[in-house]
Amino acid sequence: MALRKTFFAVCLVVSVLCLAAGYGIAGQWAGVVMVIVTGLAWLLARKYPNWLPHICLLASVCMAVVGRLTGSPPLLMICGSGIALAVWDLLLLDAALGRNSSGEQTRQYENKHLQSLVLVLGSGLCAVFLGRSLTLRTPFVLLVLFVALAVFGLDRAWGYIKKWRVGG
Amino acid sequence: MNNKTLVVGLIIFSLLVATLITRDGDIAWMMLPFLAYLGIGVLQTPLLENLRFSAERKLEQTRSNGGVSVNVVLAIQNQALETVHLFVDETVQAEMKITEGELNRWVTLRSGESTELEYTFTAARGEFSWESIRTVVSDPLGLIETEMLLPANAALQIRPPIKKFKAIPLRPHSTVHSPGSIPARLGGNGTDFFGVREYHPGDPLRSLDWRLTARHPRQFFIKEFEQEEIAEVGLILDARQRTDLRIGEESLFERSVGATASLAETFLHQGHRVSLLVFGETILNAFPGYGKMQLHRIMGCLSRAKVGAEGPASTYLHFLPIRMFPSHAFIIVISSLAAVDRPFFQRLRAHGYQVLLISPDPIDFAYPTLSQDITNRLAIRATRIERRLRLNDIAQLQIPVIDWQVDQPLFPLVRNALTRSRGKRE
Repeated sequence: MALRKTFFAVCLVVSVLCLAAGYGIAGQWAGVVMVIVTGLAWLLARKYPNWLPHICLLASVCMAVVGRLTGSPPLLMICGSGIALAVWDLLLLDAALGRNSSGEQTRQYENKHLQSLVLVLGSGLCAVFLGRSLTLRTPFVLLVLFVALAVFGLDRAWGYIKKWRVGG
Repeated sequence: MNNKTLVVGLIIFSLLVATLITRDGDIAWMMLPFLAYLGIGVLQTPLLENLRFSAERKLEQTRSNGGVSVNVVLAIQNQALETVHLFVDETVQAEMKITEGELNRWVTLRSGESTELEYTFTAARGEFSWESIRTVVSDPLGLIETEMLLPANAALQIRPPIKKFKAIPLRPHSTVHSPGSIPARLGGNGTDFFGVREYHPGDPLRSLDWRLTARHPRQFFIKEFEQEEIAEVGLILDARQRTDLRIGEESLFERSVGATASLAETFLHQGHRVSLLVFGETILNAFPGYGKMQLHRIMGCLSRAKVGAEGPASTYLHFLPIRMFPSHAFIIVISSLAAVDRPFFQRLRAHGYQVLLISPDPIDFAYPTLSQDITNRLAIRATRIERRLRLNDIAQLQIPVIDWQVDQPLFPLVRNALTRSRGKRE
């Protein structure tokens, strides 16, 4: 089995387990069923790579948000949605590579992609754990300002990419 | 912005809105993996001004015959100093049938490294040309993509299949004054005895007929031989939609193209001067010429020939610019014939052309696919009668007609038609 497929299976199981466990702990069995259905939809998404993976990712993130709002453990929800991002990415990678993944240079591309994805998950989830374990009392207004700054930074970064990096 | 970036951006925005509405910090933490995904993608995007590639498209041959497999190799080298992640995508043209290989691939190329994409295709006929190779450079996560067209020119002509004919014995009314193989009914240099005439000053002495001269003491006579010259042949291929018939993969027009190519090759091989006019949605022509270069020109026209939609001008053969053919040309029309075509043949005869009509039979072509119920049988019979009347109409203009059932070999039919027409004339 290709590395990306193994990675996909592991991420899918972990993501579904995190979300289902979160809902299970909160005693919301309807949520558990919904999570399992989403897991099955992820499996189906291989056949419809143009649209179904996006819907599955949105559904996973929505369930994580709803779970958090209904009292599920936040760490499990954050992990569930973060790892769903990896599942989504691996599905799209699989669709892009298709059957043409035999060459050495294609394998290099696949490895580089997987390395980047591990870096994303590692850095993202580590930052979450670290941030949540630090007991800094931040006023909510400051937090909103910080997020707005981040979004503004994102917008600037996008403008920078368009102007200098992709010749837009 | 591609779909991936859009989806991730949308999720980040939605989570931000949800955070602001619910005032829940944990939902804000959910954004972090998505922000990391976007950030790492952006940081790994290569700078456009640093990108340098060389691309080449290698074809086994530039001319090929229909049905033969053609191997194509695309080679791309990364001439930049940094490693790039690249999607190479080959454009497939309409008539190409890919038999082997791959048309696109994601690769990672280090500095100086190159990649090759190889595939094989077949095509019945056509002219194929490529100007560039489409590539997409992106970060490893495929978030920021830049499309680049790398110049890599190549062209390929796939000619219609040619069936080699034996020499076709032409006897045109007039010939082109250039040494060839057709007896020109003119005295001069040749191999066959033509006659004897009185000596004129300047005639070569070696041609003197000494026996006759001895019998007439005060006169000299010389022997004349029949000059052998070449013929002027014009080929007209009908590419109007109304005269084509397509059944599955097979097309009556393709058979006509094959016949035209075979005739052109045979006549040029015999040394005749040949020209071609393809009459369809657009007019393609090869002006009169000899030899291999002319064969290339004609094959080029036939490779490009297509059955197109009919406009008002292309409906009637009557609008054909026949004056591109020299006045003494022997014209061969390859057409399955429409009801309105008789005036065109009248016009050809009125201009003094010697004409031969080769008419591929659409009824016979379609026959195996038609059901054999009583209605169909009557319809087929009526259509056959109609076609026979139409061909007879043309034959009355002193035009030899070949009713060609396309599964039959064409050469004996052409030879017989030309021999019969000569017999009638003589």
